[in-house]
Amino acid sequence: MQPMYHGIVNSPVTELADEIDADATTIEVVDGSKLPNAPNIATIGTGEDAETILYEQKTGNILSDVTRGFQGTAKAWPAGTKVSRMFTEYDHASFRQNIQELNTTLSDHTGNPVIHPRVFQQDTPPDNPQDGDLWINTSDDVYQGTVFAQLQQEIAAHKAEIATSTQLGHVKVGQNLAIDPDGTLHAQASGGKKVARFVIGTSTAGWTENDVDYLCDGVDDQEEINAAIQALPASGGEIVILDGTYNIGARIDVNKNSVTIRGNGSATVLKRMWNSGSNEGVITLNSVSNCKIENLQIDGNRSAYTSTNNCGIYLFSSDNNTITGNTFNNNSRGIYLTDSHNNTITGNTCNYNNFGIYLYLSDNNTITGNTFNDNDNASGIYLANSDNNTITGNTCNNNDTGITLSSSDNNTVTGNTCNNISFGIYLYASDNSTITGNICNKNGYGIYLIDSNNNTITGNTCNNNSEGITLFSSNNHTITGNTCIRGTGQPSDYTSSQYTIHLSGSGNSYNLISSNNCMGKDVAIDGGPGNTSVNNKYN
Amino acid sequence: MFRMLGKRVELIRYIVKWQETQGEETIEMEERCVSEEHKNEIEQKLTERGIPFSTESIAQAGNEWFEGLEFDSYDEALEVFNAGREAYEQKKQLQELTDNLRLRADIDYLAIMTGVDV
Repeated sequence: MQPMYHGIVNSPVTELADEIDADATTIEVVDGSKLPNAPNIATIGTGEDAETILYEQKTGNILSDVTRGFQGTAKAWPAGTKVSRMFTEYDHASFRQNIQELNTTLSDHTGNPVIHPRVFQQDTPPDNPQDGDLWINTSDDVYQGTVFAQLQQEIAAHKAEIATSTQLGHVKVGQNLAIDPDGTLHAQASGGKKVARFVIGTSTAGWTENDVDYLCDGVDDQEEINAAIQALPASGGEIVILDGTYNIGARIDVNKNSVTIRGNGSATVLKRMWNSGSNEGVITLNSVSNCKIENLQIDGNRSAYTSTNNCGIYLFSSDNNTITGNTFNNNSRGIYLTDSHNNTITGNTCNYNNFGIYLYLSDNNTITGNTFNDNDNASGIYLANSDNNTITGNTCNNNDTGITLSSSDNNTVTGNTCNNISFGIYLYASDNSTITGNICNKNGYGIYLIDSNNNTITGNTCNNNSEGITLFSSNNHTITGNTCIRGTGQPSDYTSSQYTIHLSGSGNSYNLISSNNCMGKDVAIDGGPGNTSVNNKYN
Repeated sequence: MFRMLGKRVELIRYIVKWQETQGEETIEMEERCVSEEHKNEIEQKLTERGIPFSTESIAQAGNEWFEGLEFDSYDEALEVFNAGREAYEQKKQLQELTDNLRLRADIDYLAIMTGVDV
């Protein structure tokens, strides 16, 4: 590096105090303050004959340890010759040289040199390839001199994907990439925190080892996926599964926290190829939290694998996880939670299972905006011994039962659509829940409560059921503002066994039934003390 | 044994019982039927679904007086039903007598005030 010297504003001028000869190394000027502190350079004289000197010391008006003819020729000068800190050729030359040197020798914060790849587009490999060099032959095959070049190639591939898709298997548009000193490529989280991420593809869909970190082959594909999960750091990370059908012969085991497994929607299919001996999912979350499973299609392959233990996804003792945007079809249970709390299940589709979603001993979960259709012989949503859950805005059609609460208390069931075969919403031994604003049409029973107490049933629409709302051995309910009519609400629209609201049997007590629309048939009360039916509109 | 359809009493003539499987539970169901037509309708539905059922006839001899009466609540109806027909008739006669006396008093008052013989 060449030494570079400070300048001084406006280059003020002083003069030589005495004449000097060409060998003088101590020079007195009239006003030393007009020159910068030493070491520095100064120009004696003006024009093409000027001499630039280098002075190592400056004390008052005395310059000492002077190198004469630093630029230009050393010569004798008379007293009164002008001396100033002019901008010189040396200044410019030292700038250039130092910048060039920095450009080739600069180290990053880790101490590693910054590599400037050279790109050779030619038929033959370049001579003496260096770190980072890329050679692109006429067939557009890309070769690299070192691993750095390979990373450059990967980045180029990612950029190409970013340019052509709004959401990719690898990274999202706008997501930054970072390279660790060990050569690991990361997506960067919004806060700048690095996220470990592995990409999985399958050769059956045309992916190659150059595309992915783990390449499946269509047989026991869980092995590569589980290997990727195990390769993530203990702090978790992302697994991206690219388009293709993956044959899963044993469970995909998520056994560390903060793992995200993401697919490309219906294009990423995980297909079950085994029967589970105990409750298992194609993906199983075992005692983990803050994981996210999204945009996968899990095919339970129920025509070939019929065990009732077969689940699409199984959460065991796992809290604060998110399951979103997935499809879980043809399982015994699409989604199954045991002893799992505070999870968010949103925007999933669970069709053609035995149960769409099943919660057991699982509290404070949110189940919102999912679709649970055509789940035969059982429920779209089934809660057993599960309390304080929120079930909102789901569609549960053409199941045997839309939503079942069994021995489950303090749940909120709001704004769901349940048009099914037997029951729209069914409560068994379940207390203190709120059933509000649901649509339960064309069921056998719109809303049916048995052995349940202290629930609030308000603002629901239960039309064209055999029975709109039915209570059996159930006490202390508030049933208000519901609409339960058949046809156009004429008495002729009802047979003897069809009801709007029906307190069935003699075991119901202290229920309040008021302000409901029961056009065509008034509330029927078979028995029981303390039931009040008032202000219901029936004709 | 009776039910209320709104304010109107309907005597229970039959009870049809069966079991439904709901999820993992088997639940006991029953329908209290107020007519043979009602009973037949339930039995036909269960037969079509292949569900076994049993039907019990309820003896209502002596209770026919109660059929079709209207009350504000099941509790009020049950109180009358338990008291029996004689008590109901006595109470009804007493109520009618009270109503007649009250009406006669109203008419007499109007006659005095208007000077018109009634």
